[in-house]
Amino acid sequence: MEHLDAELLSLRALGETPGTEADADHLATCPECAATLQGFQRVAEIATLEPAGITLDRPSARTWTAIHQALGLSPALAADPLARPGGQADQPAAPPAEVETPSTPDDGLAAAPIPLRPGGKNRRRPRLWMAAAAAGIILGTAAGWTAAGVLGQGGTPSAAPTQSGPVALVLAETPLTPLAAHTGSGEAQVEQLPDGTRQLTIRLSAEKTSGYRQVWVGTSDLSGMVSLGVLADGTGTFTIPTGIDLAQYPVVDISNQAYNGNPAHSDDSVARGKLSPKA
Amino acid sequence: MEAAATRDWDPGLDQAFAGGDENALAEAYRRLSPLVYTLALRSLGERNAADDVTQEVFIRAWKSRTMYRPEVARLPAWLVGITRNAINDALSARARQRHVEEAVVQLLPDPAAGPADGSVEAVADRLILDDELEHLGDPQQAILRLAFYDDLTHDQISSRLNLPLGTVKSHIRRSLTRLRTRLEVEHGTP
Repeated sequence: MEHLDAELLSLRALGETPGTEADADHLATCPECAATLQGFQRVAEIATLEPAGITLDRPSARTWTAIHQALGLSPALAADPLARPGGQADQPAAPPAEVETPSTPDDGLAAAPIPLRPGGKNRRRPRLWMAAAAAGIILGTAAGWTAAGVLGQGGTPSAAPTQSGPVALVLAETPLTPLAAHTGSGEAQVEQLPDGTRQLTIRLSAEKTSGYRQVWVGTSDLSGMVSLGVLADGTGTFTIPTGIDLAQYPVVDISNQAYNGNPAHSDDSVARGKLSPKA
Repeated sequence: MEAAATRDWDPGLDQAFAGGDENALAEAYRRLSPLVYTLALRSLGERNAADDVTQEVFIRAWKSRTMYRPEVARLPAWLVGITRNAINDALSARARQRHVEEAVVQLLPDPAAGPADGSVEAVADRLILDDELEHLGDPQQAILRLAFYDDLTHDQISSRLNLPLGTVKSHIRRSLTRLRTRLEVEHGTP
């Protein structure tokens, strides 16, 4: 059989399933066509990359000083641009106002075990999306540097953090209720630290699971999930990347992940809740 | 939620940089030095070496700004290219050094540097892809954006843009091939 048409392979890479069964058989056994498809898939994956979960480090301050000196730049530019107001380092977290106010206190989402990848014609996107998100999973760090800033996605610059003194401000919280076949319950709370960082604290009662427990925030319809890290004990604190708008990602989800190296959401959620803003 | 690297990037910055505005250099540093640094750190494994590469990249970029063509590439994509060159240079220099010293001291990687991390490379690739996407022209660009970000099938794109099905399909094939080639060239595996 001849090699598959590149047109067919490119549509497959975009999540469509054109072609015959014979085409699929050919693809399964032909390294050349598989490699072509993989190249296309890589493009789709990169193009739909979700940068918010990817953490970046920052160069030391002396690096800018060295550049400044070597190039003989204007003295007005002597200060490290990374430390400048409006730089990512100083970017305050989203204000409380960004947290969505649910029209009803309980829309049933917290309790209802909604499948992560609902059927329907729009199945494709979550899959592409999940793969991309999986590629970018990084534990939250105190630095809060994320690729979202590089890709210009850090959200709208917001007003200065409230000057109410050096205490953490509770932005939102939710009870975590167990999903089918699970028993663990607890609560989730989002706090804003004095430096603007938002932290999600999870408390979840012990439950024997087959794998490890991973913490996610997700969109209301669960079509988008961002991993914040692994919940080792009953309590864990995770930094919410500045690029994450909690109004868009109000769902807190804890999954049971198998030790199989697959970083995507397992579809096996242990407990879930939807954040309500705290007045 | 759709990342929009180059769409969010002010083209005025590219022009200002090419025109020698030092503020544009500082702004490029503010926006892109964490990515440059993290790419270097993941490849070289040492913070000092990554700082050196970051320094080198921005110095090189500024010194060759008269060769930079804003109409050919956006600044983020251009800087990623320079970064990858500078990292390769640092790796070759290290290999030569190792050869000379013949394992006198085995350099221990900085544990703080973390493991090699493909996701940072993916962010860099994303800047490259966004750049290439911008240069596809229309309707190719519109077609791919609908496929990637609005998640439309080629059927739906065809009716949305009122283009024949065959045209949409061949545009998708050609555009994906072009983007794939650009990524491969970027990684030295044509």
